[in-house]
Amino acid sequence: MRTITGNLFAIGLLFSTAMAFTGCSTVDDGSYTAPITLSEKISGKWVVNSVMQTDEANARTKTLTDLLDFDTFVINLNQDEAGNPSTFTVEGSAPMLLPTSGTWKMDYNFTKSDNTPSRLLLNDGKAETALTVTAVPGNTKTLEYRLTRKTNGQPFVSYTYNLTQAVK
Amino acid sequence: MKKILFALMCLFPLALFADGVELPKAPKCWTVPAVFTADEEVTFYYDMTDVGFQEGVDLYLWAWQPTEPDAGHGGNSSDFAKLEYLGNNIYKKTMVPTQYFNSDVSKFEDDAWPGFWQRLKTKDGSMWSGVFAAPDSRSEFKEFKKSGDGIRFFSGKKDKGFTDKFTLDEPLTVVFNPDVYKLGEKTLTELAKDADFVEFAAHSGLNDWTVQQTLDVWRPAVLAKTGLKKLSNGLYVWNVGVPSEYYAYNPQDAGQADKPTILADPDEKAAFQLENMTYLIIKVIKDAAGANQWGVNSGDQKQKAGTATPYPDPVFSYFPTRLSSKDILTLTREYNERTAGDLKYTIVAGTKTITGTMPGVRDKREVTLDLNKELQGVEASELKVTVKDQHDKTVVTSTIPLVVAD
Repeated sequence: MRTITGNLFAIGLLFSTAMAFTGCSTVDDGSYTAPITLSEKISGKWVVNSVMQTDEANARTKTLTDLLDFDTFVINLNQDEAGNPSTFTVEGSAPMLLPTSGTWKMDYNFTKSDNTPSRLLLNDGKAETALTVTAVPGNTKTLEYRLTRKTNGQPFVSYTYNLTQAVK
Repeated sequence: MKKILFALMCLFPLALFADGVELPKAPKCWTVPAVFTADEEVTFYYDMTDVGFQEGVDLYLWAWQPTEPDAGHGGNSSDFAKLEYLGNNIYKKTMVPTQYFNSDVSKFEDDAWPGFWQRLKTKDGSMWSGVFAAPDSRSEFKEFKKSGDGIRFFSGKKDKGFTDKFTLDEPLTVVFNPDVYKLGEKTLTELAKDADFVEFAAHSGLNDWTVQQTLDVWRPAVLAKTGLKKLSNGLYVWNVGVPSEYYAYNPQDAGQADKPTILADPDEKAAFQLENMTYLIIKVIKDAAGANQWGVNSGDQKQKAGTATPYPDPVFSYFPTRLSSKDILTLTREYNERTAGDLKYTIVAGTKTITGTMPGVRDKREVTLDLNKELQGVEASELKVTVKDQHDKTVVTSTIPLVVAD
């Protein structure tokens, strides 16, 4: 019995070694393309779909979309010619919870292996505002991020912007 | 087809007030008695809260079904169409519809009659309420007759649905089918043919006879108050009206003041926990000497009361519970006083004062503010909030602390 298991193990090992070597051989599958970065997915012109305010003390929410011109909110996340994040501008007359212009970037350009959310960083030259990305555009062109306000490190209120990509 | 007719009916008066303002809302309307026929006296009550008229302004009835009594006077309503203001945004109009509309009762009982469509308006026609149909009781009577029941309690308001679980302050009408309801072996229809028959009447009390309206057959005022009335549709009704008023006084002999019960005292009434009504329906008869006496009766009956749900007390709140001077703040006041009207807020933050109104309806008035914009350049650690009603009475004072965001 023990010999059979041992033999099977040996065969398995042989196969995997063989596969490892074949994996290294060059296969002609066209020219090299860099993986799509988060910045590429997130860049563009985004119009508001909904804005939600959350009381972090009790998780109660209030929809702000139709109040105080929040529905006019538009953010342009521009990229340079090389496809890297560059400037951003905010349009509309919604309350200015976010900086209205400056530069933007992602804190890490790919989905993090530890599953922590990506952060979108807005810099208006004075300070950096970090937004937690809660929905990354994929098949549906929806971007959602959350601005969380903290006091002594404890969140007390947050604003969740759900955005739809504008048709160019 | 009916719906089209209704729509036309509603559209027709639109042409009449080209000069006036049409408010989008209609009043809430109910009646005492709770159910009635058009040839009996009925009082229509109108709650004008949130409709948009100035509080207490003179209002007039504009109705066009089955006839239009004040036709042609949209710009100068006639005195007969005037409503009585009771305070607290409530108006009333008492009438016998067949007289007011100068129409035969059959018009009001026809299934094709669209109903009491109406608006309320200012005398000069500068402001009109939305269109609404005041309640009528065709469907209630029809359904009751069909049910085969001998007696039914109709308590409440038609728009919320009637219930037999009566309460102290909701209108109550008790309806009898005389071909079904019996005293002893005989139906009311049979008993009413007896030579000694005077009337049917109710001897009753609340909470196992704690508060009573006794049937004093020798007192004409008591016979009038407690007597069952035969309606033109063949049914009998005991018009209790509003129970808390019905049981507040017992009529006495002519020339004597009514005798109050504990319900005549506002404090006692407020503390009164209604549980039931006990009653007997009695055939009042004339004896050989010509005096009124109790005849055959139903024996003790008991009707369980419902639970009154009072309008909640006002509640002020703000959202979120913790905020900084850069956040969005929402002030909310729910379940406002009936005549509170538009609320005005004042927020003092450091050297800055912000004022405005909280729009909405009685149930909820609310305002959302961008503090980031309102408090630009202002140092403040708290917001002092004052809310006043339309009469400048302070209804809320509150302090909202501001936290400093990291």
